[in-house]
Amino acid sequence: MEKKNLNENFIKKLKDTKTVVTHFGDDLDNRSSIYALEKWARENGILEEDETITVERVPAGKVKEGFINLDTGGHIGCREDEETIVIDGNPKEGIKSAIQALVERLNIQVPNQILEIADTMPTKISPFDTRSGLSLQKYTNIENVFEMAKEELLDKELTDEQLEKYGLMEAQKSQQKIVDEAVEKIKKYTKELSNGESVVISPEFIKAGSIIAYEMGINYFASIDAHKSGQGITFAINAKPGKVLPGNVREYGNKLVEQYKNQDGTSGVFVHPNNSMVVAGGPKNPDFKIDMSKEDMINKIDVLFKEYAREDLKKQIEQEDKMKNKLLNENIILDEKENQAKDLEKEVQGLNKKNIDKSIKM
Amino acid sequence: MKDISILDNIFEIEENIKSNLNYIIKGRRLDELSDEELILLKELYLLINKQLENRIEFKKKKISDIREKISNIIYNK
Repeated sequence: MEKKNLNENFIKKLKDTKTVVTHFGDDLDNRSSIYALEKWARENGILEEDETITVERVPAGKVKEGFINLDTGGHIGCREDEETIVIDGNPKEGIKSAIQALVERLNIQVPNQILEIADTMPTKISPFDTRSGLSLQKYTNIENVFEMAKEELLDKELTDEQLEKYGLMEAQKSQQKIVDEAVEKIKKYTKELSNGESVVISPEFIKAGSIIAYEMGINYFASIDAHKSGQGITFAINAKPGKVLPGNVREYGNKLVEQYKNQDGTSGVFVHPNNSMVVAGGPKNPDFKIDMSKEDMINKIDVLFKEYAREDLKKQIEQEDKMKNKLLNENIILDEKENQAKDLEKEVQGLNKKNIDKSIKM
Repeated sequence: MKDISILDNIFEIEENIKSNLNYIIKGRRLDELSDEELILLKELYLLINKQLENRIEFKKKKISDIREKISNIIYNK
């Protein structure tokens, strides 16, 4: 479809449905995408001033045909035909978030900081910093978040005046409590692995648990919870940004993806394309559950990480063995060099004595 | 590494490290060692490699000293 037709198609779809479909649960990416789209639609006369877009929710990774799908939560990229429009991040093609895809698609303006931060884990913001704009964004409306982003406050500590201005004084206290509780629980559920790494295997949901665990130097975070129906479980296993999940954990995730595949080809289990996450159900897919007991899943994850750690430890030993051979060779070469130097020294000393004797005789 | 043969060619490690390695490995392959034994083995490897690195530095210094002595003799310093 040509660009002109694409825009006409998009506008028509929005006018007809006045609806966008997104994943269950709110995060900065879908909140800012919906807000930016609504603002753009009003400015371009697609929506009346008092009109709003209806937001429909689907499980993460799913697409509702016949609608504009904005941030599926599955990082599936964009696709578009006359019936269905999907606007989503696609990390493999350098599109970090749905808001970035939306901005590129409609050429709309949003603060740069939103584009930098949405759906990413900015390294310079610590979750222990309960005064940062990012930590507190979920406590305030999206208009305020955009205002904070314009002032580039999302990655900064807010002063008392700024907390007051955005109505976040109480929120900061609540956030501090969340962090304190999370640290306590993380300590309780952390397991040291034989290869020197550690993993949290938590039998309960810990708010902000994974990002706090990473900040505590833990590479992997697994959380298993009972499903809201009282039967079955949901779980998520995440790796620290910059790391990937162990191969056997990913393999297990992919096995579950197949096992829980729907007729339309989607699955209730999601393995992130960058191999940093396996998630089954949870806030973005609340109806899905795995038919397994909590204890069995905890044991399964425990065994997977122990197996991974043992293999990794063996690899470390093999590396050290190679290093030892290299160092031994270097030692042998230096022994030869030392002997050669000693021989040369003797030779030079001998020559020197001869010259001295010659001088005395003259 | 399919088998562990480090004891044959490490002649410069301390006796206590040697006996610890002997005790851990007992002629077994890596796959046959327990997690605890693997952890100890890695620690010992780190010790051995550190010692070999120290020895390399020591030898380099010794060779450099001899070369300096030779230079002094030649130039009559």
